[in-house]
Amino acid sequence: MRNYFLRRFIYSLFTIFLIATVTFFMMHSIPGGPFTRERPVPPEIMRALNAKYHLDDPLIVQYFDYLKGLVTFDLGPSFSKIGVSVNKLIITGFPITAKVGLLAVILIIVLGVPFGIISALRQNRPIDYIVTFGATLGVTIPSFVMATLYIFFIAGKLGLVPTFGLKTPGSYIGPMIALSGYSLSFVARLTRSSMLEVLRQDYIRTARANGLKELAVIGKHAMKNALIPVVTYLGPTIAALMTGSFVVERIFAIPGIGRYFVESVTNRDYTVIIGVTVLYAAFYVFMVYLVDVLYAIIDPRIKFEKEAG
Amino acid sequence: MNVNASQFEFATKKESQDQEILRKSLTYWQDAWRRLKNHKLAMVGLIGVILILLFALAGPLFSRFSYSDQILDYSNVPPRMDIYEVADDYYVFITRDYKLLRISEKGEILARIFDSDKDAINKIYTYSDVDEGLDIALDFSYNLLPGKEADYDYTFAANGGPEISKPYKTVSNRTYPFGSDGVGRSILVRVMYGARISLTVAFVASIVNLLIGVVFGSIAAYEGGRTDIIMMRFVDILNSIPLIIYVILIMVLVGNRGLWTMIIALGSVYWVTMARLVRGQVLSLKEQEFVLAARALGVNRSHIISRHLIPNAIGPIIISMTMMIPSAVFTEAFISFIGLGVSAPMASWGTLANDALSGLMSYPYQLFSPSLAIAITMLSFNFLGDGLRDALDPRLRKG
Amino acid sequence: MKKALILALVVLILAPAVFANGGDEKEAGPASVLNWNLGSAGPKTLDPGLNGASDGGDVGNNLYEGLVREQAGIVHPGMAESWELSDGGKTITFKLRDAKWSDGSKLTAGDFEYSWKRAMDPATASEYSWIWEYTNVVGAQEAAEGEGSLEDVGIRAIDDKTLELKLKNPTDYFVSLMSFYHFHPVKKSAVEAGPDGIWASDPELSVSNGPFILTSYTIGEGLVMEKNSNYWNADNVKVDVINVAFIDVASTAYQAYKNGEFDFLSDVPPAEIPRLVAENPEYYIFPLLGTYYYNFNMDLEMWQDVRVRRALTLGIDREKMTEIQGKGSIPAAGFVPPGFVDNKGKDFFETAGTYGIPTDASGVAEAKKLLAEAGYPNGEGFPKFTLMYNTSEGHQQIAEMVQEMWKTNLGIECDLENQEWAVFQDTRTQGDYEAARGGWLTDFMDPMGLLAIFQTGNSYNDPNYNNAEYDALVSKANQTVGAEHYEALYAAQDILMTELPIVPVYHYTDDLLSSPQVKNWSRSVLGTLDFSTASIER
Repeated sequence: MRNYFLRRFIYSLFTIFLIATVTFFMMHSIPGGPFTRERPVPPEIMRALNAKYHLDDPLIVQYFDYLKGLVTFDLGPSFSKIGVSVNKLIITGFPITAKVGLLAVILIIVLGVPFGIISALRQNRPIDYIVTFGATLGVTIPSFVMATLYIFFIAGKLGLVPTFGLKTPGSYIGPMIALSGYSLSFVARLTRSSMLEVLRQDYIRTARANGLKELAVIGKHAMKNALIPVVTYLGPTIAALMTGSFVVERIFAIPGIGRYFVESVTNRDYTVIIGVTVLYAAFYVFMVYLVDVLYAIIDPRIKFEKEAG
Repeated sequence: MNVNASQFEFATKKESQDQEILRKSLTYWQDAWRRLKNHKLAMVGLIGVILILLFALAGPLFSRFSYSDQILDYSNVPPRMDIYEVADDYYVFITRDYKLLRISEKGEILARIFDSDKDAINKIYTYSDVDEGLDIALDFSYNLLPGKEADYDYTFAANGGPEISKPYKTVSNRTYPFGSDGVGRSILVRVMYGARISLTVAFVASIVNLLIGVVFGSIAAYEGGRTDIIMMRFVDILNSIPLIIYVILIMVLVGNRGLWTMIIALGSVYWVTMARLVRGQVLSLKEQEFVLAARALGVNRSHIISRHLIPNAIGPIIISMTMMIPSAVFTEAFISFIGLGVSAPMASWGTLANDALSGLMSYPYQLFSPSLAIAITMLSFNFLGDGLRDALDPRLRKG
Repeated sequence: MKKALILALVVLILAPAVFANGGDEKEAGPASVLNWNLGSAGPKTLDPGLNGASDGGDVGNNLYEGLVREQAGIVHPGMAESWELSDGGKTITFKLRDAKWSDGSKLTAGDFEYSWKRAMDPATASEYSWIWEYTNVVGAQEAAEGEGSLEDVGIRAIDDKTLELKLKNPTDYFVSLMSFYHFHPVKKSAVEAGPDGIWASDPELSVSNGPFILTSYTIGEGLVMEKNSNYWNADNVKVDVINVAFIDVASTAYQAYKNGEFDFLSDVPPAEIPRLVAENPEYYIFPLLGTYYYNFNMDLEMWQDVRVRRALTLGIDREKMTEIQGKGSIPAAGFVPPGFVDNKGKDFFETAGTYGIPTDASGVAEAKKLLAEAGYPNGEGFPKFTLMYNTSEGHQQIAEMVQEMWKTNLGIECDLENQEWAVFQDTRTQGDYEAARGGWLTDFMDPMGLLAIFQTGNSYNDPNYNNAEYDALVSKANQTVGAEHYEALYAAQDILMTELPIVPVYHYTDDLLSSPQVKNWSRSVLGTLDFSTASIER
């Protein structure tokens, strides 16, 4: 098994490299460049700009230059914030994004899983319907609507929190809700469903028959086996939340890195595109890796290696 | 005890058959349908889905507007209106962007009355209906007074008559039952047409999830080893490439060919979550006794996957299939905003919700209708999904 | 245990926010603070030489000051105390006042020479160096395009206080152009302290000469400017601190404005505008020197008949469209917007007239007649075409209205297609379209800046319009001043509006919200904000 995870680790690094490569060539094959603006820049000046940023080198040269930078953790200068390096953009923005993201993740785990369990234990009772209904709303109302409504009512009409930024502890509530709404609902529903399945299994019946306390049955036996889909879903979700959301960060005016994921593409800010993509990819690949490790812990029967014969 | 053959007789053929067919044997799907029919909420969901389909397909036949018909004079009219009787049998409604409309007592919009004078300083607008010889003065200064004392926002006065501050009554908008949008189009009709796009997207997304996501994930998990690693790294790459670059690239390479290009864009990246979930389930299932038993009996691989593994993972499959529908609907809106998919003026639910957002403070009803449509669809699918899960789960199969 | 851990984590995460907040409050309370939302996610750069965008310009106009300062069309002396024209207007000599940089050092004519030559130098790679073509400064265009030497440019600091400029042709708008943010001076030692203009957004390195200095800058969040005590006119600067936020979601910023978190808003949610116009005296609309239009791709067979082009121009109700849009835009019946004064002191827009293009729907009858004459009665037989615009809710709304009006008024059908900006620009310059949205804003006070784009070979001539007579008239206007200049321009617009390679839709406007507590703020005709004279009365 240890061999397997070592091998997986190497594959993961290679995956990140592939993602960077594919993204690099894809972004260079779409029209426009970092100097495409509302008023087109005359060709002579475009030439000067391209020369300055080495965008007139053959693509393959740019690619290797870029790889060199990637290996040495130098992501190059941003095009949309002249003179600012991508490293600096990420260093200033990422902690803020990660902080909000982590809070959202905690909210998802702390609320999503218990709601799912309660809903499963009280199947087809009022509480189950309430959770189902809430979860349906949670996935139906997209984060941009949630965020706008929150600002409109909670910050605007009621004046309970500042409208934008992260100036007070209360400022974190809106982004947390908007970020976690969808995944929280998803997790609650997933937990409920796998919980229901596990509860029907013979060993749970046996455990109950043996007179184990309900709490112990749920906590020790049922939970563990119901966790697999939840963990599968949560891994990549954590990576996504920790690297931020374009919509939520824009609407709440949070100076994180989430907004760069879309903004950099519209600006054709090549270095930032790759920078945030690789950051996300690394996070994501790591989380997926971690999920596999967790599988092995949760269910020791799971084997990743192909059996001989 | 003494027993001899004379005490026994051979059973007739009929008798022996009667013994065997105590109960008609049901196939997996027949059994599933039988159980689904008994699931009340699932039936509610199914009826909901059918109603939404009817709404989308047949609804537009009963409307006099098409999704693109504009009446610019009737823009931003809400579904419920406070009408004022300014003269005998002459009712008016003022929109939030200060257009005065003549309304029938029943709630049909009859005409727009144009302004003849705008006194922005004293907040008095005058509207003139030349045919009826009416000058209607709207005084909306009350609404803006600091520490407002009046319990009304504005008053009307026709031809210098008394000020009317109380609405005659509140009527439902007969011309636009769900209100009209910023360029005077019927939101109801647009939601009906939008349903066609969004339901298609929901349908395609679910199919893609089932066909690609489930199959991909289960094969990766079942095969394990290097196959699993490589297949799942492909999923990782697909998941990490920015969607927006991918969409622009498709747009540049194939051009916008309407809904189909959008479906290709969405479908090719949409199934990754499902693939991961199914893989996780199958990884754990494939080590269980019943799979080992099937393998020992020499059941072939595809049979094990399709008959033993996938049915046992049906819970998470159905949950994520239904829960991911709204995200497909909103991803569609995002993709078509970038320029791939259906072009304006046709709009999906996601696009309608997106467009309504900027006017939320003044015209919240424009967001409400498409959101409600999505919510009803989601509830129906969720109920149906719960029922399906119970119906399809082999562990719940009786007999 | 786990719960305690999570709790600890939450506390840990929130703690810095709490303390940060406590710190802020202590600092609050200076006499006069202005809270302003810039309306963008933050300027690309604050270096005047590199900046080419209005958000950076709005900030720059308060940090720096050019030779002159223009407020609402009136040119006030800035760094230059006075100036005189000689050689028939081909030489301009500016006399500088005793002014200082914010670090206390003396500002000289040499600083201007350095700043401008740096800005036009291709090695600097300024996105705005194309503007030197329109200054008519001898050798500047050539230098900017890398074909001439900086040595040959007609900019010379005669002594510390005298700056001499040589022009190719007399240029009426030259002095007012000097207020524009591209022409703000920079200090050489500051520029060299950090690469690529980073010095300008670093409070440690930034050196400026305007009413305010930069004291704080946070990427993606905002910046703070404080009064510059070394500014020559510091006695008249009434605002002590300007907090600038970078929020690009108009609805969030508007909500914050309503909550009193902002005094000044550069970006207003479009859907709220009709109500604001009626209800709120804090809402301001200004004309902008630009025009919104649709291009016909003149290379295509389908657009060869001028009657068809005119019919499509007449077939839309511009008044209804601008009413729906609500921003007070002016329906366009020509290409030159209001705001340009000709040699007789009259507005170019007024004098030019409407070329028989009514602003409402009353031209539809004529349009139908023209279509019938062209062989397409009620639009029958005219091929369905695609109308393109770049992705934006506003452009979509206009395109939807135009599409519907052409369909109902003329029976001509078209499909709509939107493309992302960079893709769209590519499509347009390559002529890979049938009809496409266009928009043009000028940066100097002369109709030339608009009409010149339709000259043959101009990079922005998207319809690929080609008319020798038109080209000659625009060239003539470029080399003349006064009556001759304007006669040529009037004649040029006559040709453009007869041939109609474009459908003019409306002239742009700019809007903003300003709390009544902020007094005497001002704005240049080109739309740059100026708080040098503002004051706040709480």
